[in-house]
Amino acid sequence: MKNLRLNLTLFVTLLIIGAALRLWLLGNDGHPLLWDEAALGYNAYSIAKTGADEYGVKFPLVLKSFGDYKPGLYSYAAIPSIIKFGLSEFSVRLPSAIAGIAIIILIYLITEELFPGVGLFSSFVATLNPWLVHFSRAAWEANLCLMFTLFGIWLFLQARKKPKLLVLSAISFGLTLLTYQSAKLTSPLIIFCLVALWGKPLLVKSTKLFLLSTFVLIGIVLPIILSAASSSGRLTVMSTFSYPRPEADSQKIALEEGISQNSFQFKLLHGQWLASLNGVLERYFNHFSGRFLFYEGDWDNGRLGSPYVGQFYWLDGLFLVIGFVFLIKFREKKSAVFLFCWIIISPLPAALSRDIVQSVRALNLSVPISILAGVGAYRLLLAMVRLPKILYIGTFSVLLVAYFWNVYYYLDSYFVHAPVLQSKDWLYGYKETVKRVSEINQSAQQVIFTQKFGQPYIYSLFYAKVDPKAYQSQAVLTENPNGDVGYVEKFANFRFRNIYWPEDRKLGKTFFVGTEEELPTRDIDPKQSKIIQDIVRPDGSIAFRIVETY
Amino acid sequence: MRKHHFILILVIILAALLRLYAVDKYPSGLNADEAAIGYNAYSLLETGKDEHGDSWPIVFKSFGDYKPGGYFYLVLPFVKILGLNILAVRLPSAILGIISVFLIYLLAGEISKLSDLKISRVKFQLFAALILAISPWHIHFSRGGWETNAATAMLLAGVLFFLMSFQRKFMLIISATLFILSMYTYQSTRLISPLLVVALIIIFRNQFWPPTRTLIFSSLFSILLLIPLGLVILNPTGLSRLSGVGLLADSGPIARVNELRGQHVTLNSFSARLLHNKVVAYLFLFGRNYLDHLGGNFLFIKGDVIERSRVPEMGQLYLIEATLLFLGVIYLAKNGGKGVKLIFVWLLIAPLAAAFTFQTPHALRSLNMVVPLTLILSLGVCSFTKFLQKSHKQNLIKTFKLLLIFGYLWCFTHYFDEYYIHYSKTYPSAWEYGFSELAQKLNRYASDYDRIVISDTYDQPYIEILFFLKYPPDQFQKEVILTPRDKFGFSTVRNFGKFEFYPIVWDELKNSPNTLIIGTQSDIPPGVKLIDSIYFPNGQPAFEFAESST
Repeated sequence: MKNLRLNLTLFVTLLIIGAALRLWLLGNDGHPLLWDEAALGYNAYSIAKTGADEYGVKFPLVLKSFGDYKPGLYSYAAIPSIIKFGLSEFSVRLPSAIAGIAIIILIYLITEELFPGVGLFSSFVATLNPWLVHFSRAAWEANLCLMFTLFGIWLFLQARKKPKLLVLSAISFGLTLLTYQSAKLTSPLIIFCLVALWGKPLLVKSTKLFLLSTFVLIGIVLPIILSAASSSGRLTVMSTFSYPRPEADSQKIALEEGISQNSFQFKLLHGQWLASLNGVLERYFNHFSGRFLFYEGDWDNGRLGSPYVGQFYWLDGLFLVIGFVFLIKFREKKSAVFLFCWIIISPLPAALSRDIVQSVRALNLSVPISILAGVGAYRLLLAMVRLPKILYIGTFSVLLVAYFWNVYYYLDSYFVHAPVLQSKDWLYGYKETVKRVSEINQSAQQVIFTQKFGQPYIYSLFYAKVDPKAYQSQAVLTENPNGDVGYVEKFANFRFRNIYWPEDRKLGKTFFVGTEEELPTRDIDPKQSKIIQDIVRPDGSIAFRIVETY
Repeated sequence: MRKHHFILILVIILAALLRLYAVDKYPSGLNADEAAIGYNAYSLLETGKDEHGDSWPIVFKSFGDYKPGGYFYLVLPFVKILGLNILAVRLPSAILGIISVFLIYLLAGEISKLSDLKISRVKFQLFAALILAISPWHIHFSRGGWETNAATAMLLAGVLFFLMSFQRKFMLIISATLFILSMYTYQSTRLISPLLVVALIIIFRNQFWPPTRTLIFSSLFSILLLIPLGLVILNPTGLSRLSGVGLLADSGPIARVNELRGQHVTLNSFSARLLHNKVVAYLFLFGRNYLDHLGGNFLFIKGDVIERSRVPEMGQLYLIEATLLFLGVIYLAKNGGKGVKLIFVWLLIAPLAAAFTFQTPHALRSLNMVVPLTLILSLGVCSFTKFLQKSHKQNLIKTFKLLLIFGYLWCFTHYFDEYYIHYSKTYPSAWEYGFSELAQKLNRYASDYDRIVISDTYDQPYIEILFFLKYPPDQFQKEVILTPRDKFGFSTVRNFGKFEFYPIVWDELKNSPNTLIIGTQSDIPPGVKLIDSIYFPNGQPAFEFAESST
C-alpha cells in the first residue's frame, strides 16, 4: 500500500515535470512557426469560422494546403484552443503539447502491461527525453499521431482481458492515418505484430468483435487510402528510390570492369538494386548510430532537434545495453519480442525517404527505446540495491547528478542556443515582417513578398488573421510540376514572387519584402524608395528587408 | 584424420589462397609505411643501423612518427632471403593472417570450454575459422605490410595462450610475452593489450587466487620486458605521435565551446562553464567516435573513409553478416559463461584506441575488433542452423540454408570483384602506385641529369625511391635531413643524392640547369614536351617526365 502511494507520488511528480517541460513558454520560446504549423493553424481557423478549409472544401479529411495533401486531424485538434485563445502560436501548438503529456501517461501504462514494475522508469526516461520534448513543443502531426498509436497499442494490450476495447483500439489506429503520413507504413506493421503475438485468442474467442474492429479500421482509413492517389506526387519526391545512382557513376563502374551496363554480370554485382539497398540500409543504420542517438541528433535538418544534443542522453545508452541483455533472457517472451519488433519497424518510414536521417518520420522509435532504457534503469537499480549502502547511495547520486546535468545541457541547448543557431532553420522573421507590413500598409497598397523562404502567403494569412471567407474565394495554388509543394501567387493586395530589383524598382506605390540579396542597400535610390526596416535574426543576419517605393 | 581436421585444413588453404594470391600486385603499389618498413629492415641488414643511423632501435624514427619496431624485425629475415621487394614486406603479415585463422579455431575451442554455449563446439570453431578466412576486413589488412595485422595476431595468440594456461601453467609466460610483443608492434595495441589483460584477469580471477608461482614469475618477467618500451613511450618524442593524431589534435570542440559560451548572457558564468567546457566537448566526441565503430554503416555499408583501408562499395564486413551479427549478439546475451563475457568485453575494448584518435571510424586502428566480431558471427551461424534444426519442415530448412549460402557467395564474389578489378582503378593513388616503374625509369635517366626533382604529391616519395632503387643505406644515413613536423606530426626528407622532393613550381624549375622534373599531370603545364609518362591502372597519368629548358 505504502509502495503504491510512493509510486503514485513519483508518477504525479514526473507528470508535473513533464507538463512543465512541454508547456513552459510554449509558442514563445524562440522557435518561430514553421510553414506546416502555420498551415495547420490557419486551416483550423478557417474550419472553425466557416466549416471549410482555405480552399473552401467543407470539413476535409485531407488538407490540400501547399499541394502536399496533409492528413487533416491535427487541424481539428487545434480548433478548441484556437476558439479559446485566438489564432496564435500557442493555440496551434497546444494540441501537440497535450499529446506529449498524454504520451508520458501512455508509456507508463504500456510499460506496466509489458513489463510490470518498470512503468515508472520508462516514463521517467520519456518525460525528460529530448526527442519527445522537442516534438511536443511545436505543432508536429507526428506527435499527435504517436499518441494515437500508443493509445491503440495500450487498448489492444488491454483487450487481451477486455475484448470490447479492441474496437476502440481499431479506432485509435485508424486515427493515426488521419493524422500523419508515415502512419500508413508504421501503423499496419505495428498492428500486424500485435495481432501475430496476441491476436489468436481474441480471434478464436471473440470472432465477431475482431471482425467488427477490422471493419471499423477499414472504414476509417478507406477515405485516406483512396485520396492517397492525389498525393502520390509528393510521395515520389520524398522517396529515396526517386534518387538513383548517377548515370556517370554507373558508367564508370561498367567501364572499369569492361562490361556493358545491360550485362547480367553488371546487374548482379553493381546493379541499381545494390545502390538502393545500400541507400536504404545506410539511412536505417543512421537511426541507430551513436551520432544520432547520443551525439547530435538529426544532423541533416536543423529544425528537427536542438544543436549538439542527441535524441537520448548518454546515460540512456548505458541503460539500453543493460535493458537489451536483460530482455533477451526475459521470461515473458512475447513482451520482449514485441518491443524488439517495434524498435525494428520504427525507422522504416525514415529509411525509405530521401533524407539521410530524419527524426520526425522516425519519431515512433523514441518510445520503444525509452521503454527499453527504462528496463535497463530498473535492472541497474535492482543490482545497485544489493551493494553496500554507502556504495549504493554514492553510485545512485552520481548517476542522478550526471543524468540531470545532461537534462540541463539539453534545456540550455533548446532555450538558449537553438533560437540563435537555428534561427534560419526556424524561418525567423515572417511574423515580425507580416506584423510590420500590416502596421504600415494602412491604405492597402500592393505588397510584393519574396518566395525565397517558401510559402509567405500562409504567414500573411496567419499573422494578419485574414478572414477565411474572404480568402477562400481567391485561393489558387500553382501546382509544382515536380510533384513537390506548390505555391500561391497572390491574394488581395499581396503578390508572392521573387524580386528582380532592376525591373521591380520601377513599380511605384509598392511595398517590397525581400532578402538582403534581392534588395541591396546600394541600389535603393532614396528618390524613388526607402528601406522601412531590416528584420534581423537573433544570429545577426538579415532575414527580410522591407522597402517602400513612392 | 577426423573429418573436422580435414575441413580445417581446407579452410586454412582457402585463407592462404586469399592472402597470398598475387599479394605483391594487389593492392597495386606500395604505400609509404610499407616502404619505410622494408627500407629500414634493409638498412639494418646492410649497416646495423636504420635509415637515420640509429642502431637496432625499438621504435623507428621513420617520418618522425616513431613507428613501433616489431614488424620491422619480422620483415628482416624476409628481406634477407627474398631481397628488398614488395613481397618481402607483405609476406610476414600475410603469413600471420593465415596463422590467425588457425588461432581463432583454437580460441573458439577454448571459449566454448569455458562457457555454456549449447552448440556443437567443432561447428563453432570451424565457422569461426571460415568466417575469418573470408573476412574482407581481415583479408584487407593481411594483404599489405600492416603492423596492425601482426599485432592483432599476437593479441589473438596472447588470449589463446592465456586461456590454455589454465591447464598448462607455463603457457602464461608465453601469453605474457605475446601481449607485450604486440605492444612493441603497433601503437593501438599499447592501449588495447594491457586493457585486455586486465579484463582477462578480472573475468578469470578465481584461477589466480591464491597467486601461483607461474603468475608471480610471469608478472615479474612482463615488467622486465616492458621497461625498454616504457622508457621509449615516456620519452617526449614517443608521445608526439599521439599529439598529431590524437583526439585533442582536433580543435573543433574548443571552437564550439567558445561559440556556445558566447551565446550565454554572461560569458563565463558558472552555468556556461558547467555546460560548455573542454572536458565535456571531448568526452562527447570520444563517445561518438567510439560508437561509430559499432555502427551499422561502418560495419556493413560504408566502411572506413580512408581509401587505403577500404575497397569501394563495401563495409568492413559482408552485408549478409548484418543479420548474422544480430543473431549472434542475441545468442551471446542469452547464454552465460566466462568465455561469453570475454567475447563481449573484447568487443567493447577493441575500438577504444581508435576512438582516442580523430579520424574515425578507423578500420586500421580498430582491426582487433575483427576477432570478437568473427566469434559472434560464428555463433550467429551456429544458432541460426540450430534454430532451423528445431523446425520439422525440411523445405524450410533447405531454403534458409540455401539463402545463407547464396548470400555469402554473392557477397564474396562482389568483394572479389571490388578488390581485384575496381580497387586500383577507383582509388588509383591510394597505394602510391607507380614508384616501382618510376625507379626503373630513373635507372635509365638518372645519369643524364645533374638534378632530379620529384613532386611530393604522393605522401613520402623519398622512401619509395630509396626502396625501389635499393639506395645504399650507409650513404643515405650520411645525407638524411628530416624536416620539422607538419601539423599531423609527420616529417619528410627533401633530398638525397641528386634527388629532390618538392611541390613542383614549373616556372622556377624550367630554367634550372640540366634538370629532370617528374610531377603529376597538374604539375606540368600543358604544351610542355614530355619525355616519358607512367600511368595508373585506370589509364590516368600518375607521373609525367619533363626536362628543364637549359
